[in-house]
Amino acid sequence: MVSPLVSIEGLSKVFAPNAPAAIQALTTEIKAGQVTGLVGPDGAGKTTLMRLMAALLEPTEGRIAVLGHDARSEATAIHDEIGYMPQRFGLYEDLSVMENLTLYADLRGVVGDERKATFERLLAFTDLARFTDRLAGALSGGMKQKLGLACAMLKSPKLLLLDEPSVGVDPISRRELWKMVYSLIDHGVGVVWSTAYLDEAENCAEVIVLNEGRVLFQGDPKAMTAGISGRVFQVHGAGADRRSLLARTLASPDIIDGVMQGEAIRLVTAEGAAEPTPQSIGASSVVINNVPPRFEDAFVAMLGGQPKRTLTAPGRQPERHDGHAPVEAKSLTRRFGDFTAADHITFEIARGEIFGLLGPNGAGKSTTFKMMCGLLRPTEGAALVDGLDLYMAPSAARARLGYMAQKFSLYGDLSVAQNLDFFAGAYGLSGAKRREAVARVIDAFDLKAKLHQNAGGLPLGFKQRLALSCAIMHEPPVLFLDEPTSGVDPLTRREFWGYINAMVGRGVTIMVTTHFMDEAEYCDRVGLIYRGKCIAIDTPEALQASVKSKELPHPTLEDAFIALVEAHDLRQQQAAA
Amino acid sequence: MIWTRLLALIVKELLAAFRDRKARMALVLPPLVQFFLFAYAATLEVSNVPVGVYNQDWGAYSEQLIGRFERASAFSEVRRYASEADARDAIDRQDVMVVVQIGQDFSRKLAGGEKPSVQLLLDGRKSNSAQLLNNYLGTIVAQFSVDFRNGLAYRPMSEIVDRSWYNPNRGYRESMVPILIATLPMTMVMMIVGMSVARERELGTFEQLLVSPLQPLEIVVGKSVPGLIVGLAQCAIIAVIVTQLFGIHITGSVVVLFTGLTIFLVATIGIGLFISSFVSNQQQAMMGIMVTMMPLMMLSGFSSPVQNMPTWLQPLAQINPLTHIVVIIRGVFLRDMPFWLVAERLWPMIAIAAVTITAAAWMFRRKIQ
Repeated sequence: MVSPLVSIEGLSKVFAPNAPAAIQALTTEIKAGQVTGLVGPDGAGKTTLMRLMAALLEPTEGRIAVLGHDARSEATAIHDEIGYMPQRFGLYEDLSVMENLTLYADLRGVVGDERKATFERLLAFTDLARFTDRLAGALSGGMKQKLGLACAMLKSPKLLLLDEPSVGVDPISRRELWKMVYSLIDHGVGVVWSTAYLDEAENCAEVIVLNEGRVLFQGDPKAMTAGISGRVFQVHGAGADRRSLLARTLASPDIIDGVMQGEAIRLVTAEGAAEPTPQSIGASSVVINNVPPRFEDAFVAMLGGQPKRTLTAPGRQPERHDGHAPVEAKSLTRRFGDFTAADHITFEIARGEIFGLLGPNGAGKSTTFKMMCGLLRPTEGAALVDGLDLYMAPSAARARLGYMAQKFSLYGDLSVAQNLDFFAGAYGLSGAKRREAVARVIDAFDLKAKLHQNAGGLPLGFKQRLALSCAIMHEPPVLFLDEPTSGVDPLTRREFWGYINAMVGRGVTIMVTTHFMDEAEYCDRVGLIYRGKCIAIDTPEALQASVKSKELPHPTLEDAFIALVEAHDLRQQQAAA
Repeated sequence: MIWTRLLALIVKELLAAFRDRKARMALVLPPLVQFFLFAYAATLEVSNVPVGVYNQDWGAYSEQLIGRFERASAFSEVRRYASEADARDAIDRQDVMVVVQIGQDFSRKLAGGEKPSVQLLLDGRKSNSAQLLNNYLGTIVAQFSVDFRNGLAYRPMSEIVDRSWYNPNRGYRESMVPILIATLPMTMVMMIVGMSVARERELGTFEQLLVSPLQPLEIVVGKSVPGLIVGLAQCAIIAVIVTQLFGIHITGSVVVLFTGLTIFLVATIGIGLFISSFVSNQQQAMMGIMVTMMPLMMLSGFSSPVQNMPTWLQPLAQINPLTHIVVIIRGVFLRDMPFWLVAERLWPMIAIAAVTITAAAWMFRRKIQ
């Protein structure tokens, strides 16, 4: 093996004198010709480490050598030879694709024939040649990342640092990104890919698991996964009881992790614990199989399992309005000029069901979701919440729904208590009712300690809890979540879904949009939105089963998603021919 | 129910506006600093300027005239220049704004009962001040010749005696400084309201509001009331400074003044909200407000009278709330403006407020559709 691209020795980074170190005594190497995954929960130090390697931050202690240059004294040389793509790559949204490329080429001193050849190669490579005139701001999430990658690769770097490149990118674009990165590896480039999506770690030749600024594991992800083989189980046949069953099993010290997987429950046992049996988990009619572990199982196990907080379901059982479904989309259509963003989308969500709207970027998923929330008026059709049309009775219908936006839309300048008070008031709660509602969510979400802290400075997990609190204080029978855990690490995500499961147990109906397969796995049913149409509605297992073939004996939900989209494209082509 | 929601929104806005020391200072300090800057520095009066003299005359009369310049309170000193080149150079270097050139036959002509001429060389780069200096010096020279003839027992045919009503000293400060009671809070309120909507857009909290049972009109009201409270408080503080510190008395009714200011601020808030309904981030809001603010100021008649504008521009001034409040403020401060005259200025502002507030609510609703 050739000498490593990056060697790090005893590296520490402290931002403020009294703050805990972002990176602590870290020693590691990054090898050439492979993808090294940098994984860890939110706040583990992934971005700090990336920026240290890119020589954008100065180490507090220790030494980093990148491509033989010392990061402290030869930062400029490092900047010249590496490519770095930060989480939000600095694309100029008001410039076209070509203008962005030209700008970065100018900045990097790529000129003349070299520029021409580089542009041709990169545009072909990223498949952006058709869109050179389009404004960068008008590109989809996936295309933006590809353009960012192209800009980072202008100088043919030997080392490419990608900080969470797949956040906000749909599965299809994500596969394309990976393909692009693999083709770079073949040319001998070393790639560091940081991610909170653990399924991606399995694509890496080597992973570095970071937590609280320390390396927990470095090596082949398969070895890490193999470490917990025999401790992962799937529980089938729990039926409608499965959510409460999951909550019950998680209370046991023998079970360190548990997630929903469609109709099944996935459990990871503690080291040395006995195999779970139907009796031990207190559900007689279930079947428990030992299944091969995934990287995520090993990761959560390595971090000590999922946080065990006693989950009290916030809120009471919503009153029942029998006779109609809590959420109903009746032939929802929305046209923007000639373009039909949503085309006769129809579905019904049953009480206490989690329904997922799944689809790639720009498929019409957000348009549909916005119409369901009353943020967009349908051209045709109707969106009903508890039988109330969102346009005939907007105020009354909205009072019955809770909404949690993608980016935890809270008032960052206001304290937790002020946020709670405001949202309670905005939903018309006053006096004793308001005090009671606020006290209830403070208790249920354990917000007491942070009550007078500004919402903007809260750790991610708390922000999420607060956002959810604000959305459900008025005890809505229906809750809409827009990509609730996109870019959120596995532990925080589990905590969030723990709350959601508890609420579903009380009969709250949930609709969630996502392009994130793990979230889709929590859904009872999934509607697949593609090119403005709902091309499939079914349970996750049924969708997986529908694409089962010889080549794909055990399709994941992502496989099913891609296969269904491709099949739809094929049908369209045949119809057109 | 509706009151609960509105109150929650208003309380939230106020909390956000006064959230920390920095935010509170931003509400208080800039208007105060601006106030003193405008009140002291931006004056149109000419006083304490040196005046240049190039005297070619050797007679006694020219020295008498120069003596009058020296005594005039508007001028700090008289600078004498020995040649035309020196005088030209002095204006070039901006040592003086004006040079009075007295011809060599000045005394002779005056004594001979002829008309002597005095030339004023003015720095046209400062047209406004030059104009004023021209007037001052012209008056002094004219008075000088009148007195000279009086001395010779001539009686002029008629004499003009001028008196300025409402502002007897024709003080620039008396007519300009009270206007700041409207202009400074206007800037502030448009910023507060416009930026708060734009911020919510940026953060995504605006959608959160639209999804709640709050109606678009409620959002507009909830955003307006805190702006109005902050704006009126500023108006009051500035009014106190104007009357107490600057000693400019309110001749008319304070109630009338604040009724006008309230309606004016509502109209301003409507404009701010309407602008903010088009923007998607704070940067655009800032641009929009700046672009609107300048014409509002220029076309308000507070520095140049509306009557002096071209006819096609005058209707535009009528849909500018600042035009009307300027008339009301001057009216209330300088004279006891009768209420029916105030009312003539109130109803256009009420109309403007109604249009802009409704338009903003309609735009918010349209965002949904």
